[in-house]
Amino acid sequence: MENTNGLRMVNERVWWVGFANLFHANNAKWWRTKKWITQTVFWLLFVNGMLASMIWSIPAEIIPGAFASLGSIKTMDGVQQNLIASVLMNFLAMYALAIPVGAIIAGQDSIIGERQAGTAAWILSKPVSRSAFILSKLAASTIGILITGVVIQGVLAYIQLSLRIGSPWPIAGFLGVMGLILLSLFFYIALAYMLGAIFSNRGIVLGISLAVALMGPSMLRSLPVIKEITPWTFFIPAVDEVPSGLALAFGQTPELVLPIIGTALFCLVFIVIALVRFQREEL
Amino acid sequence: MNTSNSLVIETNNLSKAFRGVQALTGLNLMVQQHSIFGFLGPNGAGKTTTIKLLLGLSRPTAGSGQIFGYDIQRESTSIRRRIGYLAQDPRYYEHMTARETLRFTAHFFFTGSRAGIEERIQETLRLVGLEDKADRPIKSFSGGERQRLGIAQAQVNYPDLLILDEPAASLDPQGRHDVLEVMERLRKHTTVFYSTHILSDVQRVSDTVAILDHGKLISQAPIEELLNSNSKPIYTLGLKGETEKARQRIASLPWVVAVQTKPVNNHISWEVTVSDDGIAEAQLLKQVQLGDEVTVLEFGRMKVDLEDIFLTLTEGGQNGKH
Repeated sequence: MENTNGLRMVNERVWWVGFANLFHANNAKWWRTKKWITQTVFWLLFVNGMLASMIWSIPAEIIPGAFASLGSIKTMDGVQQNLIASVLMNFLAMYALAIPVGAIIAGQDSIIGERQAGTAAWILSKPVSRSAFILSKLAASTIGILITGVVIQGVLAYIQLSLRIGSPWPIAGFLGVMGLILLSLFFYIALAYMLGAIFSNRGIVLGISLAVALMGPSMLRSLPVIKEITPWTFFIPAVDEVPSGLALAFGQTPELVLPIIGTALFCLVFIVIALVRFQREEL
Repeated sequence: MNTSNSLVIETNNLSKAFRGVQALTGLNLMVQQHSIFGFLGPNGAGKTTTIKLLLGLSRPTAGSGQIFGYDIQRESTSIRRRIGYLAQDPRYYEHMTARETLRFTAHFFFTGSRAGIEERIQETLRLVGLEDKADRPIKSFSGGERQRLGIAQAQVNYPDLLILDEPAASLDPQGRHDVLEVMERLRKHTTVFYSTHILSDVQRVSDTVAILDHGKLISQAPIEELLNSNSKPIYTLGLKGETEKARQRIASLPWVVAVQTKPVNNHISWEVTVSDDGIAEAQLLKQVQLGDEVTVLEFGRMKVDLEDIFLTLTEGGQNGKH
């Protein structure tokens, strides 16, 4: 059907109707405001600032030997004895804790904020599916944090590491680490969205999400089975094993299939619960 | 077109309870095409709840409803394609300008050339008189400007039905006047269903009215019918002289129900309630003047306004009195 302005009415009857327009608007909140600059500067200071303060304090004369022996480190004692390895472990552990906190803070307000402000009711009075509403936000938040907190920082960290060791850091292992950080990031964003769809209190969502992020790794000792299905062993040395993400950074090939599949399944479950719950939401 | 075909909104025993509290009970609404339908009720009567149910923002606990023949629960997206909605307290993305807000809204409804969409946005801005403020961020808008933007975004898709929740409640008299004028202008293109507790607005622009109180529909009728049906005709008179003798004579007439008198300044005022408006119109003044004991200063049929009807139907309706 065409009207006098030459416009055609959108007549889609799909479950994601409205996604493209919402995704565009949610992206604009990141990239057409100062948010991306603020986020980039924050992560730059935190991630690369922290990395710089760590790696540039390693004496130059021990770097070639320490770097060359990374591939043979198999135990936590070995990590402790190698200055590059222990610096990387501390850096990745801090990064792996900071990224979820950033993701949770960005994600938790996304649904609750719009619901409480009344903009969710405004948007959902248009021909928009509730699934599109959630997924567009999830996608835009993930891309926003991914670019400002992971990709930009990853590129700069790679340059820093390469400059410090005097040759390019092995790219495959580094990309693997970035992939694990991305998966970990998505796990916590999805968790925050699920909780945001279930609860209407920011404090509860923030509290539960942070408890999962900060206390989850400490459960690995009492419930060792969960290390196979969660992202908690990627970077945090919670058990007496070299964290798998750290081993990947050393150029090794740790067993990651199950934790990756398990984490991905958790993400999927979180998203499905968020979608189902939000379908029933009274606005 | 028969009556049922021309119905835009039809609800059947639509009900909603929130945690055991009944907000809406067995609502049966019928809104005709191209009407301006005033949905009246005191605060908390269930008006916004009804609107949210119609829009699919909330789910009924019982009953059903159709808009354009589509089920409000199962076919909500199809309904929302043909609707424009203005919330009671409209909220938008504050970082956007009015033009960006309309562009964002328009993209939910239209595909086509960018020029076509911009042209539609410009038309809509013109309709509500926001052309000169189109590129200002919304956060700097006054209440009236927000409301006009609200009507603009509700109108951008050429809706067959406009649902407006208290469109003039937060506005000053000029703002209210502007909003009502826009509604009247839109009447020829669309059906307007709007909730309000400002009775004078309803009487000015609506052709049909429904009155809701404590979640129940009390009355639904064309406004003229409502104004004429709910009370016996009353005539008012201003008199000087020996009024008591005249009062006894009038009160004894078979078609007079009651005569109430009260002193007003230097004369006496009567309110004569009659059972037969035709006889009263022809006879009452002659009967009063029959004995020469009084001089008639004023004579007329009392106009019953919507507020009287509303207050009667809602048993006081203190909340709704404005």
